[in-house]
Amino acid sequence: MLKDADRIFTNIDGRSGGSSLAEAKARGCWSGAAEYLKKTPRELLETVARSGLRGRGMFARKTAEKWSEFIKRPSAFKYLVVSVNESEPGTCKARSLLRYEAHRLLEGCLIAAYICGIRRAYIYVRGVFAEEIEILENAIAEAERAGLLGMNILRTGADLHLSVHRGGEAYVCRTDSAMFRSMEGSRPMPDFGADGEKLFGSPVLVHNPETLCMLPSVLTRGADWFSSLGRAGNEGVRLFSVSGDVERPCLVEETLGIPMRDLIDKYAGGVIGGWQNLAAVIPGGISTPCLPREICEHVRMDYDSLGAVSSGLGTGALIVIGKSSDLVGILRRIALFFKNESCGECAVCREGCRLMFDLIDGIASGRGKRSDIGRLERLCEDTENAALCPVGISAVRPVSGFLRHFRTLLEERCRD
Amino acid sequence: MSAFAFTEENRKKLEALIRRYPEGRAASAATGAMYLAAEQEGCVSDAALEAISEILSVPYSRLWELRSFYGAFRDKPAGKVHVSFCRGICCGMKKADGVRDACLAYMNIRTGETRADGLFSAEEKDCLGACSDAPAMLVNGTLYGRLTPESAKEILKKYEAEAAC
Repeated sequence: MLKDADRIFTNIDGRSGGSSLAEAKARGCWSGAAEYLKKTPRELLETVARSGLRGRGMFARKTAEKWSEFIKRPSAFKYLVVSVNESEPGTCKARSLLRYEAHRLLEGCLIAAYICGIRRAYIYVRGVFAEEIEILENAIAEAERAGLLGMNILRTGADLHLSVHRGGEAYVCRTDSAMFRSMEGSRPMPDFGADGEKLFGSPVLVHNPETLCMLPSVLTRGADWFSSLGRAGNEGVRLFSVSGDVERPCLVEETLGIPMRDLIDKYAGGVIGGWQNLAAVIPGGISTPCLPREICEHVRMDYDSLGAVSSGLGTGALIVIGKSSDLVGILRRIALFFKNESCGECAVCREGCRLMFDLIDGIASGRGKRSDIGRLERLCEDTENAALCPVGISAVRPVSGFLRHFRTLLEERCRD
Repeated sequence: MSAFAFTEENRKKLEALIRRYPEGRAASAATGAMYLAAEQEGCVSDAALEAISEILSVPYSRLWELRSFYGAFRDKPAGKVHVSFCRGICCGMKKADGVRDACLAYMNIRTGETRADGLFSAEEKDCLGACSDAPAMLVNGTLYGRLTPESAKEILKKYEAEAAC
């Protein structure tokens, strides 16, 4: 288990106060800023590279590699966008992160921007987080007044202007180009044009808030400390949320590579009705395929281990499903979510998600035939191959994962 | 169509929003402006879109597109007490349907409706991002978690009493 001394998110549960600057400073935020801003961006990049930090978002790329590429892109003006468009069912981190650890995020933004030569950053927050946005805006204003953001930060000559962009409600904004269009005031649809991957016509670096929150600790405590946590290739810590049929749903920080069972048993108080009552676990938000009990028994929570069992770490949000819950009903809800959230840009995803929902809905309500399952399988394949953006692929993965492990449950529901 | 004008305060807020974006990119403030309009009159009416269109120099049709795309905006006023039920996976597992039905029965409406006296309105939203506190609902933007049908009704009663005074 992660030692308390090694924790990065010391206040993720809000136990030691709120998000004011004074409270955040008392917890160690901003303490190293004056020190590391004296070093050159290249030195800092080196440290991040040695730490082995990987993005905590969808693609899990090595942060330092991503930055090296980004720095080489020719442009006098570049942007940083932090994507806090958390809307994947099962994931419940952003609210706590913004409420209790806002300054850690701001400091992370400063570090990423300083290393990559960025002077303008936006934090894109899902619109429904109204109270959290207010807290974040207050935190930014406080940091600006204290000279930690804005012009000539801590008299080191570094600048960073940071603002919040309150987005609408659209899951598709998890796709970068859709988010950029949303920020420019257009309908958020994935854009594959020549300037699709640019914001206001300039190159832009997109990050998950969790990745950025790691940076202050990586720089102040050193790359060796960070890489000593977790396992080779999956260094560091991660926030995990555990919800569903567990005794104590929770949000915890743990090292990558912790056994799934430990997470459920030690932090979330175990499965309701005991481990024997476990039917399946969705390991990282609903777009990751669910895993049956036999795999949950031994699988570790990191990128590579979960990839090896044809699932993924996703958002690090576990949904524990007990035997008393209706798995087919849950699959139906998942399909309904994607049917609603498909943006409609590509017909494959729009129609594919609708058809998938119709088939699953039919089977769940006892109107389906066995041949529908075959159709569902083919539909998954076609949609995954032809969808333009990650939303279509995300819609398929939970369904194909379900077919892999729980096909019989669907067959039982069919009328023939 | 009734006229719409931003209050002095909201107008200032909107101008501050526009300044967050580069020169000539006022369209970026469109969603922000719509949130301000919603705060002011309870919805984003056609008249509000016209006012925003003029301030930001964005075509009316484009704003209309945004309003209809995002789940966050509505074109007709919500009730004084607006409830959003979560229909996420975890809330579903924790019997959110029971909470929803009890609340709807109390409010005497169905989801998507506003009560005739304008006091209550309700809608369903996809995951509110409070899965560890399932089942959850939003009342006028404030999150309430770990609900039971009884506790949810108590919360509604509190809001009802406040709205009455």
